[in-house]
Amino acid sequence: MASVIQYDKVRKIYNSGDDEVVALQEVSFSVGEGEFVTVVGRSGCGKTTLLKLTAGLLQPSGGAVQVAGAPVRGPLTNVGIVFQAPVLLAWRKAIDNVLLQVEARKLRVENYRKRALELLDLTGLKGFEERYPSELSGGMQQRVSISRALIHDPPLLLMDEPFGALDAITRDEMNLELLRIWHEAKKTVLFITHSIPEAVFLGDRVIVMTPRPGKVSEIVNIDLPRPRTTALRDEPKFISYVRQIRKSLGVR
Amino acid sequence: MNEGAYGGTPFGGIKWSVLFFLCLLVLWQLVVPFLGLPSYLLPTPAQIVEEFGKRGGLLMSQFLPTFYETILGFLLGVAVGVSAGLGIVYSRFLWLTIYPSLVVVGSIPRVAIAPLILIWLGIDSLWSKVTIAFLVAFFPMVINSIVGFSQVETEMLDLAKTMGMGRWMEFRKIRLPNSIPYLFAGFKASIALAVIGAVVAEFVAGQKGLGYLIVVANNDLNAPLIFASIIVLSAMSLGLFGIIVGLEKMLMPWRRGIQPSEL
Repeated sequence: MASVIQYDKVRKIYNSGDDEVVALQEVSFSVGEGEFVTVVGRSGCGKTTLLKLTAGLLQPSGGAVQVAGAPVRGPLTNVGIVFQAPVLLAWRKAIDNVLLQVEARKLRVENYRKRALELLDLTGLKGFEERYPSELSGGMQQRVSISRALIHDPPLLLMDEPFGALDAITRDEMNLELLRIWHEAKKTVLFITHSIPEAVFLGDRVIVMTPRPGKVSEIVNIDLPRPRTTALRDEPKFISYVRQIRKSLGVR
Repeated sequence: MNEGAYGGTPFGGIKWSVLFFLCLLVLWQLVVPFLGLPSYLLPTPAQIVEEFGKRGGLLMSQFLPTFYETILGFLLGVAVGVSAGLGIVYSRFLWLTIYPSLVVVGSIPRVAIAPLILIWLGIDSLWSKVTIAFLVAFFPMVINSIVGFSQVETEMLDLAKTMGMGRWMEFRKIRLPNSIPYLFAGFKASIALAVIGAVVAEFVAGQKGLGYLIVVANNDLNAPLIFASIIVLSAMSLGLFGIIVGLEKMLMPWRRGIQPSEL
């Protein structure tokens, strides 16, 4: 399996005045094509830094990040990103927020309108295309954000705690939907979360990270059948993965 | 979204506030003769209305100069304020040089420099009054444009980069629309201040305008005319404010939408 992302001894140090904060230390792993990799850890373990380094929004202090075989030197444009906040433009309707991605790339909006409607349908927003973000619930806003990350059909999807702000029930539903979309669209996904069950439920592999300094403490292969269903959460195997990662994170 | 604490549609209580206001007027009309107050101290509403009838033409002719001074001062304030805001947001050099001096200028009570401006630009010139209105009005525009052009979520700007947006498109599609609510807040503050600036300029050295008329009426102990002038001024302020609010509603349909709590 060809690797889409390759982290090689990645270091990131933030300087604030005289203080040096080591956000990431010697992080090495790779993400294969079509793989769904989740990164789990406490706040401050460098998860978001890792995602920004991958997208080229930050540069590493040491080591190298490669995406599709090339070192990342500036912002990548062939990725789709979803943050914890939906980050929508308040003055654009749902569909126009999705189409921002198209306008920004100077593509013909008319050629993508149908695709945008399909994506909004796929993410469960049929009938809400013409609503402004303020008229949508948090979960619905996040679905718009996901549609926007998919419309240019990027091979790589970077997600930074996308469901972190949602209630537990909506979150479980969104997990299922994301897996469905991933299955249909065949993307490589790097998914960051602070929820252990979410990491296990979604991932082919879970990268377990510990803070101060941020480093990989363990990589867990999740050998659970797909398509995954909610019932899986009650399986002994699922529970034992969750337990293993909890232990690895040092949760008392 | 503009619902009051007691529910109902926005301004749903308008009939009550009108009724209350009418009651106040009636009370005023009755109390003044009862207390035996002379009209040069406090005229009755009827005397003020009568003044409008007698001197409507004069009021109208004095309204126009004040109106022009206000509008020109406001527009100049908007132009200079927004340009300064843009410059300060996009240039670190301007941020370091102009911004601190603007804050100092902003802290000067600008009506205090009105006499100086009149000396410099000429007492009988329209532009001296426009300049005073502008100086009083422009500051909120600077601050609001800076906030409007720069208060964008970092993640949004990160997303823009990964979408391959250049600086110009980022401005057009993100920063400019983002600034609209802030700019309108600035317009509302500025228009009220521009009226104050124009009237103060006329107080100091006017030869026409409603501010000048108030000074003249005051010298004549003609309180009904003072009240009439104040009413015209207030109506002008209110009208200009209303135009801005109307434009705001027209330009920002997303602020009128159904709120999630209503779904």
